[in-house]
Amino acid sequence: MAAVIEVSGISKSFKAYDVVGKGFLSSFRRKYYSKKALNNVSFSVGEGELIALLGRNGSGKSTLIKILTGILFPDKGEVSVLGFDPWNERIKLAEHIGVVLGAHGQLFWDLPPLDAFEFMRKIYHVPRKAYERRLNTFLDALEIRGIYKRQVRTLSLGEQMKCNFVASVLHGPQIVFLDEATIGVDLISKAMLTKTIMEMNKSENVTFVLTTHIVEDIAMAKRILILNRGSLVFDDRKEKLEGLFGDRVRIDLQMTTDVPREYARYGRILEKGHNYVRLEVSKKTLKKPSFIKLLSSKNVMDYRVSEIGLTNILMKLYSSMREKRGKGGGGHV
Amino acid sequence: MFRSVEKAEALLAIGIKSSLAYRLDYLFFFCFRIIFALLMLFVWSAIYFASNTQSIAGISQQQMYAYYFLVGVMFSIMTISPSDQLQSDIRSGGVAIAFTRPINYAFQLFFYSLSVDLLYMIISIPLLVITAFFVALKLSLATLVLLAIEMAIGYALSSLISFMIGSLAVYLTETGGIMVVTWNIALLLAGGIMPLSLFPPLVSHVLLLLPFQMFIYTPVSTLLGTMTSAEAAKEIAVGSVWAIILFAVASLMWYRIRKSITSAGG
Repeated sequence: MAAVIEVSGISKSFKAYDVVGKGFLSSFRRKYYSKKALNNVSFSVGEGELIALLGRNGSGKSTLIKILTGILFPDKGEVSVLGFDPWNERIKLAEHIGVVLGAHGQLFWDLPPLDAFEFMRKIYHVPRKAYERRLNTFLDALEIRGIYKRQVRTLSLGEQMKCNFVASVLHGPQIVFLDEATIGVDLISKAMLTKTIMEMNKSENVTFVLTTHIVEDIAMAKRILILNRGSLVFDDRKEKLEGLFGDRVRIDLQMTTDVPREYARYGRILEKGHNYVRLEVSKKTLKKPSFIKLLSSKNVMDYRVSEIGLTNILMKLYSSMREKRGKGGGGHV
Repeated sequence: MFRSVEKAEALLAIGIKSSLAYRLDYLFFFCFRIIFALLMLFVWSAIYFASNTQSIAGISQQQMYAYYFLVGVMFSIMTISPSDQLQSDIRSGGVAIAFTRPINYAFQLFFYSLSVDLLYMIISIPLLVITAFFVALKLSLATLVLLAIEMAIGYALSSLISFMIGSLAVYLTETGGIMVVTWNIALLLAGGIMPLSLFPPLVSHVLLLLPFQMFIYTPVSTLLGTMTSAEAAKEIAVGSVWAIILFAVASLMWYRIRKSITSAGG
């Protein structure tokens, strides 16, 4: 698989400030500092890959997307996207990529999405027939035929996001960067977007790089990259991420009496009530005779064992990175 | 080349459509120009009456009235659109979206601003008709060609100045105040408050060497016939030199500022 994105040791810092003090005078007192948004990040993406770029707020995801699309330039390091230097060959690169940047859209607030679609057709020089064929496909796939001639300001956020997506991919890009592209989109619309993305990835071999906090979006990706405070701390298959905590399960226990203290010996107590406890234990523990005996005791009214989902895996991962950082660790997985 | 024309046409079309959503706003701007001309008309009526003369520095009362209605027409040349748009793009992060398109940002900004200003120019046409009530305008083909060149250079100059002020938003975030101050000073230096020929000779001579005369004084004087073709040609040459200088300065500024642009998001 040929690499379409190659990133080598890029770093990027921003100048930021905190206000000093409180009240009216705080507007005039600022303490400037340099915020490292990216720190020596390297990776490559092959043609037709669908990767998810994850990380907490402020971890550097959007900065990375902006560097890959030529909006920002790195302080150091090298980037090649489709063989172009995004900074020096931005216009040439823009012909071949599609970009959805969260709430900011390719749409024009006072005009219907149709006008934005026409505008994109002209600036990307898409032949009329190809444009109409592609537009009709998206209008049906995302069910926006009924709204694409309405003024953007009257559309819901989800409808705007769907139209914004269409405007960004009408020209048939080779790589699509989606930065928080499903904010405000309802479940059904999200499923439509997911299906469209998967279809484009499969039939047109379009490479997708998406940043998101939504687990359903992550499910599309086969490969996950995680940024923590500007450093790349995870880059592997999604299964590997799931496997990080794959030996752990959760048990919800309903008791007829108070919860005995001895449960704490077998795992971590996540939640505890008068006669209820939620435990996280290893799968090996489930096979221990003493634990099985405990579960079979008379005072256990009911119990349920469940796998740890992707949401919880990410929660645990982000928490562990925060703890490591607190202890002076690098936060790598 | 064809591709650039197609992109320019797309930007003009979308800009005009977006601007037409606020068509009532254009009506108010038209009213402002009429009110400005009427205010000046009253002021100069008083001055002519008090000085008990029919002509001041060779300008008749009718020519003076016509001058201010034509100033209203030329307000369209003194554009603030690039500054407005650039500042708004930097503040809202819209500049990031503009950078994802296969068009040079300055090119996008220029044609989008031109689309806004074209509408201002169109609504100025009734002012030309009003002017014709006061004086017979010189509307020969040669005058119209000269006028078109002067207006084009004047618009390019004011766009460049507006662009330079707007680009300061990278450092200052808000440049509305600087634009208002600059616009009012430019209005005075361009002959918008009074014709440059009424200034003391030395000042008038200096002002004719600055770029601002191309915004109002030179095109209005050409239309009124108070400036000869040779004088107009000289002012066009002065304006062209300024256009080259300002273009070089604006390009240099943009080169430096482009690197500093950091839109929202982390």
